[in-house]
Amino acid sequence: MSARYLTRKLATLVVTLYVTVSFNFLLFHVLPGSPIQLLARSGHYDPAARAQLIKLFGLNHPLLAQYFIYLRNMVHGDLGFSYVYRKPVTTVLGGAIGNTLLLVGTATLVTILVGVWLGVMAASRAHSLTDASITVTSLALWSMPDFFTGMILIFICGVWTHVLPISGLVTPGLVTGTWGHIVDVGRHLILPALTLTFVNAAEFSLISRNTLVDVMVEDYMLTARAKGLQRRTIVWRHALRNAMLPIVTATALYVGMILGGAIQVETVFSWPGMGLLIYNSVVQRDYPVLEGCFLLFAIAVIATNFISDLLYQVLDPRVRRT
Amino acid sequence: MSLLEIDNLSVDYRVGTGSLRAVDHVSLRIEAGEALGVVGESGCGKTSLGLSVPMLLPGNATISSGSIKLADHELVGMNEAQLNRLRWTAVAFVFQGAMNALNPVQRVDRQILEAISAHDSHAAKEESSQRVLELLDLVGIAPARAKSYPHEFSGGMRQRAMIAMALACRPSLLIADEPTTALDVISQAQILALLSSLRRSEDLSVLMISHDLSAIKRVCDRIVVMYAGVVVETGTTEQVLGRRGESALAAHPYTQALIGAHPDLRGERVLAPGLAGHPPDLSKPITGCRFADRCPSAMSVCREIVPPTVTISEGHTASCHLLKKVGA
Repeated sequence: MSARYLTRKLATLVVTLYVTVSFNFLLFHVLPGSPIQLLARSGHYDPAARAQLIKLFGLNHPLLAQYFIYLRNMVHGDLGFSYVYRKPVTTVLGGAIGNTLLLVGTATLVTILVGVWLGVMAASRAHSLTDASITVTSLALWSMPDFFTGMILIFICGVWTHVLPISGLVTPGLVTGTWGHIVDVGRHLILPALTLTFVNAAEFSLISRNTLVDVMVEDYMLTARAKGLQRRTIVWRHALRNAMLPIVTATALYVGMILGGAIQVETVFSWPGMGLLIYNSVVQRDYPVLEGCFLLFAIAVIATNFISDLLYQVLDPRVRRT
Repeated sequence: MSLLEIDNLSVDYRVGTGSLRAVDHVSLRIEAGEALGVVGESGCGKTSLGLSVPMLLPGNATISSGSIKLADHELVGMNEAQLNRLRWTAVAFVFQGAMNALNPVQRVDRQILEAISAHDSHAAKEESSQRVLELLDLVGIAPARAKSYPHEFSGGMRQRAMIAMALACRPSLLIADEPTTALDVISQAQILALLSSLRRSEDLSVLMISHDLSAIKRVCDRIVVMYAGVVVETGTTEQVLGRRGESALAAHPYTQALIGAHPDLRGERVLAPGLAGHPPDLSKPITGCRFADRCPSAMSVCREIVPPTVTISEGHTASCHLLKKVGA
């Protein structure tokens, strides 16, 4: 990978981020409804207090000035002040981001491993009963909305059999050591992570199955067989390596999907992460927090796309630029 | 004992609800050190014949009858593990269009090394790497290019790398399926010259499949002409194609038509007549001679009775009713 390619990609990354940030700012300033009205809705603020509030949140400046203040603050790591929590947005996000990372990270890992493995199973027995079962099940799971899958799991594992906790991050009031805490969080993690996995693993299994079926009939696969290589080597070393490109693309797109899915799943399972925070902030019109969440999500998606671009360079010698 | 003995081999393909016999009771022999060429149009069963030797036919194909003996091993009915031991060590393959026959995401030396280590798990890494460079040198690829990816090679280089890979485990038989198709004429000539010289230096037997008579003529000692799944003529290269400068001695009208479709640089300047039509649909039953519909000398008997195989001279046979008449 050349330094020039990397520089160009990084420049694109910075420009994309800037545009996203600006759009994010604009979005929340053209939305109807003033936060001051929201804050003042209960009592009768006297005009002086109202003016002070406006000044406090910097709403007295013209829009363009607010935009530059917003940019300057962001560079200094200041994402504003939550209307609802009365804390800096960074503090509010900081409390939620770890939980979302735990949920989304676990789900992503399981999704990719299980999805690709199922795809390989289906493709290496293409047009068999195994293949048909995997494909049909994947299609069915893929077409279900996250929240619906979540509710079914809640019904089966929580309401019906009582084997797993269905809400929150920890059992309230549970006093235990570090290990006990990890186990407790792990048990709470299973259902929401499973929900995200069900929906998204299906996508990976379908994509890897279809790509592999295409790759399997390539001439170099016949060469690999003619060389007397073992079936396992042929599938994993020759076929999957060539089928990786669409899977990498899918992963980049998937990050956007799973973050959207996290909003639904965290709400259904009351998982105190950014998804639940977004849901609550929308309900309570906590614009600065929403702005912060959107920004983080956008950064995550842009960063993943950047990484997948670099992975392309590693995986496929044909696209390598000199 | 011949190196390769194919007896009464039939290959059937499942197509839709029916089946199609691509290779119909074909028998042929290759002696150690001999090069045999199989010629015929596309869809005459040449590739199916070649693929059936290392048992690499596609999933919808089955060997419905016959036997394939390679150095006294019966290959028909062997299990995958046994076949995998013989593949590349006893019989190696050079595929049609080396463009895609090499894995695009693996370095060339790595792909050759893989063949060596798959069959010799004790091979020292140093020695094997050295062998890869020797093999590449043998086919005229500089060691500096060993770490290239296939797309960094020209078509001719890719085919030469493929040949180097085929020699990796010192096979006794090399099957080359259209090794020069999709190459420019200069590369074609180089590949053919390479195959001819390797045959001798590496003590190889060759089964070369091609529709190109001149390519076969450059490499092979003997020729088998296939039409619609059956062998219609077989003989030494000289018996069938004639000595250089002499006119061809082909006995079967199909072979004659193939030769006629190929303009001769040294001969008279005539427009190559070509051969109209297509090989018959093999999924439908055919009575009589399969070539009858396109044959310029077809008689009524040709559409009713399968022509017998007639020996024209020592080692030269053809299946045609005309010959019987002449001979009788």
